[in-house]
Amino acid sequence: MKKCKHIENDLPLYDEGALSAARKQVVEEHLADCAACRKELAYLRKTSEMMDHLSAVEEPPWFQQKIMAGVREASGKKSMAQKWFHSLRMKIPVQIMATLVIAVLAVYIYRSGDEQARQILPQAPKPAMEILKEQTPPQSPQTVDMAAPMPSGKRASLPEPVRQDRQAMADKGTGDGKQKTTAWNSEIKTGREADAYRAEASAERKDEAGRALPPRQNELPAVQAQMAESEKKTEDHALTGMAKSRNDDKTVAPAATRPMAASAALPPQAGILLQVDDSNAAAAEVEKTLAKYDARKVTKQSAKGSLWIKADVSGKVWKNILAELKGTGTVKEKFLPADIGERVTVMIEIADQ
Amino acid sequence: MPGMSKIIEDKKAPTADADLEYVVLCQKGDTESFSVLVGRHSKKMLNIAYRMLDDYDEACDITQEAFLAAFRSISTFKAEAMFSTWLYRIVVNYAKNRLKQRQSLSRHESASLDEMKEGQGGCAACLAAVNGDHPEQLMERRELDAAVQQCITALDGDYREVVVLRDIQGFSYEEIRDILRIPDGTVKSRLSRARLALKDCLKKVIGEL
Repeated sequence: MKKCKHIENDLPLYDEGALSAARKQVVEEHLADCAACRKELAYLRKTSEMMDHLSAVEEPPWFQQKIMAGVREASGKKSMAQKWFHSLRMKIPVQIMATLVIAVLAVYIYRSGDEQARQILPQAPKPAMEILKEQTPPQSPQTVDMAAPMPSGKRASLPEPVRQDRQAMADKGTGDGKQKTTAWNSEIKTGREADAYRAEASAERKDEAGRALPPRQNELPAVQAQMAESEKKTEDHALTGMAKSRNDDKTVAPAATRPMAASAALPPQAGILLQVDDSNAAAAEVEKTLAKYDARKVTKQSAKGSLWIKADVSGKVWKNILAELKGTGTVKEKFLPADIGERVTVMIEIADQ
Repeated sequence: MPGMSKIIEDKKAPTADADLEYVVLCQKGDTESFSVLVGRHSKKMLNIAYRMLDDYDEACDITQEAFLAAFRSISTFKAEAMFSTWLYRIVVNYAKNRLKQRQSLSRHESASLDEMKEGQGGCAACLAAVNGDHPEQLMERRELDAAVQQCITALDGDYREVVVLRDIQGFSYEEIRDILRIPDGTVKSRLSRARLALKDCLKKVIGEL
């Protein structure tokens, strides 16, 4: 016979038929021999009976009405909440937030870029293209139109250093804000060194150019190649990239693509065409004049049968230089900066009449 | 024997949920349809809460709160179980939470709570009178009911809920399993222990049964 403990937990479930057949048989066998367990089962049945006879409690008056009043109140709040907040929370705010985030981000990026540019260049002049448009009157067919695309043979009529700078600035302008400012910094630092080196290099090339002058139409690309090569040695990575792009793209870079801030990174530039009877004699006179007015970084080179003299002169003496040049030959102003600051880089093309 | 009728209940075939129609209406925004559901289930919910809490006023509060909670979340009801099962689960959970609150309170104010309990819980007017009962028999009956309720209240929460649902409200094992979300074996073991504890308690309170 099994011990009473073994069937104790089965007894409360015995009457309900909740036991498996095997368990039920074990319980029945035990009950047949154990009077104490039969008594316990009787107690359990009595307890169950008492539980069954427990009276149910009645609801208080208006109980269901009270519940429904609460439900209606909750329903009113729910509908109000749905009316005011559901659409607001789920639909409109997502769109509004997206628009706001984009707008704020755009303004922030624009402002941060602008601030950086202002820090570097407190007085950002107008883009060179705008300056040209304002200053250059409608020119005769012989004079060079900087903005208009030129036939391939005449493309090089823009002074090479000016092209270099413009192309470089245009290339730089396509980069993002940070890269742009970093490149500008390096350009400002290295630009003067490059000019100094260019003066030396051009002095060396002067003789070579005189000895073996290539055919006129191929002359300029050769000069460009020489200059690009010399720059490669001196300028940093950014400037090297500019030189490459110049070689790849032979068209004159439109000045309009030059960013406003970038144009102020270097001194303003002026371009002058000096038509004379004897270009070599005139070049000597021009150099003399420039030396008289304390011009710096004077470089001279020949291309396309013209002599090019580049110099960095004081803005104060610029008008005096211009007056003296008019005494040497016929002066045509190709392009002039709107606002001549302390220094101005002047490009003088000396051509035979 | 009362147990026999429960065996028959356990074997009854699953019927379609008669509440579903009104539940769907409520989900569509018809608040008044909820009154049908309240009418059908409020008494049973009140009795479950009352037997678990042994306090009529608290049971009324809990029932109202449970109905409100059900209404607020009726849109989440997916008819995977009977609506009544879902509703009774809510009231059982609310009652269990109230018991826990009471227990935590009793730790701090045990003396004053015992004094309060002397006078609370019973609601003679609320108990359904049995027709034809003599006043003396009625008195005797109420004393017996109070003793049984005292023993139910003495049970731990987990045992109390199975006893209330099975032995007082007559839910099947399957329904209890769904309401309490516990396995069949757990339902049986808890019920077995609860009944043994009740039997021992009643022996002490009433004497020889």
